[in-house]
Amino acid sequence: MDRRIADIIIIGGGLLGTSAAYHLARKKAGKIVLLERMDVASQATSRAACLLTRARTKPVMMRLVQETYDCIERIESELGESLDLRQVGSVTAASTATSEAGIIALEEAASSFGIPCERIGQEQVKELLPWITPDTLIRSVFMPTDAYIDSALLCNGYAKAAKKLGAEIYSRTEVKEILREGNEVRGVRLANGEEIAAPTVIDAAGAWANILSAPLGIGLPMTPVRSHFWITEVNPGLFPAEQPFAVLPDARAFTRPDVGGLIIGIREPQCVSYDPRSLATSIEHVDFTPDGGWSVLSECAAGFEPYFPGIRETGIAHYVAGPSCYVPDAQFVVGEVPEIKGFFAATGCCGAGVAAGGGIGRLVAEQVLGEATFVDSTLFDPTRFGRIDPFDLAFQRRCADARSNKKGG
Amino acid sequence: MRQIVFLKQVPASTEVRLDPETHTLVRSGSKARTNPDDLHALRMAVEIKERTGGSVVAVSMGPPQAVAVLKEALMNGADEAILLSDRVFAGSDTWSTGYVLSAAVRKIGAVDLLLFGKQAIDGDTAQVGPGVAAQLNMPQLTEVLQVEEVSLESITVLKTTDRGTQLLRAAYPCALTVSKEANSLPAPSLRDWERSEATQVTHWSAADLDLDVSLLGLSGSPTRVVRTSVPDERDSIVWLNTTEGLSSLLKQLIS
Repeated sequence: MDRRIADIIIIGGGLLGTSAAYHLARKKAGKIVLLERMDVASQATSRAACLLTRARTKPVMMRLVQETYDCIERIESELGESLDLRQVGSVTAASTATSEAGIIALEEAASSFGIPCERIGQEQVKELLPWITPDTLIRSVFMPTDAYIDSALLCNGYAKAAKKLGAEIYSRTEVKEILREGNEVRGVRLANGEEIAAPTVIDAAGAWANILSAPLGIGLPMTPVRSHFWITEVNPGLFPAEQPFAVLPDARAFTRPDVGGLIIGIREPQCVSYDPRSLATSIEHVDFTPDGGWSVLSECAAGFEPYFPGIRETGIAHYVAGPSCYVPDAQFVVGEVPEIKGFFAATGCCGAGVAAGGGIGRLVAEQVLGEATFVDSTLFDPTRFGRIDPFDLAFQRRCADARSNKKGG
Repeated sequence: MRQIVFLKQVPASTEVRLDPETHTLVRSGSKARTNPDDLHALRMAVEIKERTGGSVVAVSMGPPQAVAVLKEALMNGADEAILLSDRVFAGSDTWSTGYVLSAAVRKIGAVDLLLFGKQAIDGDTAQVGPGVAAQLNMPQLTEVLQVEEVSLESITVLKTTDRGTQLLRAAYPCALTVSKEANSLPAPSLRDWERSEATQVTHWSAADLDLDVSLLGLSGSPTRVVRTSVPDERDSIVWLNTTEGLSSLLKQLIS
């Protein structure tokens, strides 16, 4: 296969890169080459919490998430294999007036978008989530069509479906440099010196996207921020595998069943940002929390305790931490960067790469092909913050704050 | 009933480097973990404690960062922790290490059981446990699979042998070495972590142990590693990247 010339190069084999490859391949956009330094789905994708929450207060988000659900269904039929979507439903529950208002807004959003949503009482919450103490809940909703999915399966699903449609996917292939000629992109140079020419390059390198764009004089408005969760020991009586996932805004927490254990994600009050250059070439070698997540759990447990008094006594089998790329306004970074013709970004997942990845891939594919976009893309314009320096500590803090101030799951 | 469990910090990476001069493992700069067998020895001690009462002391010898191993031990049921750390210990072989650990046992005082992991994943010698038992003139029960009976007077264990298993009983004090098959490790809780954070680790240096310094470190160790070598490039290995490659090789081998 001659891969020295392509129509579109995608850098990054995570959810956004593979989804973009899939959508472009469906649209028969020409020769599509995806380059991944490590393995497909091996980096931030593999550390995701994997919730596919449908109802959102931003209508654009609901359309992007719906596109992900549509992709899953289509890819399953195209590949003839299951992506193991787990439609367990979700419970969102509030204990304060502020969160109650948030839930009311979610209910309205759900109803406007046709997402099934029912109000449930404390007893029903307890039936659905046997571990919970529902005493403080003042408003709870159950959305039976919400699901979660193994992010690596989903990502590999995009990649396989893209391949089947003709895209070329190369793992263990590191892009060293994005090449330009004047104000136009002209391809990439690999770590081994090989060059691949293409008039369009999509930077979907996630946490490392800025390292590639910086030499072009482009700062993408995002930085990696630590995102994490704990997985309890197995206790199927308390944590049934088919229970809904739960979002508890007042605890800054979500939960999700995991083969008889419970995944518990709790956002710390002050999230931690990283300079992308500190992440080396693979997150495998990064110690996101040197003490295995204990001190941060200790710091966050109090807020979760009213819902689960057993949090301190329950065995914690695993702590999973990884980088999510956050943007100061908690919206994605998708689109062409006007300074360099043909250079597109598809990154800044803000913790929603699994849920919105199918939609983001479609959006960037439409932009690349100059089609009318299915959602308003100005919200995600890479230049909407003006010129920013993603390596500036103060800017990185703003990105971390976007996660600290996040509502819901 | 007083038990001492010995735990070693080992490299977490499989990329182990050897010092070309001293032929010892280069420990600085690499990620570290607790030797897996040692955690199973600790678990066995905790299970014994649950039956007999008493206390479990965790001991590790190593550089200051080996305190992480002791924090993990405290989180997993040890009551006290002692770090044996001194520059003069660096480069000690298994005999010298046994000498230091024996001195620590004497200093701790009255003890019934010593527990060790069967072997460490870095050196793989399986010598330190038996070495300490010998230096303290204690009976040793190696490769223990299971505790059959334990009382305040004696312990009866099932152990692996080359040909099967053996049931052995020993009076205290005695030493056990334990491998992974012995038990499974429960996940610690936040409460366990908080308790371990609240417990101080005691530090002992060579001076605290009243040791003969000439028997310590690289110079005091009787073992001389004359040469080390890394196995040659794997010329004899053929990577089969496709099922076709595998099936043609199988056909070739069968015919």
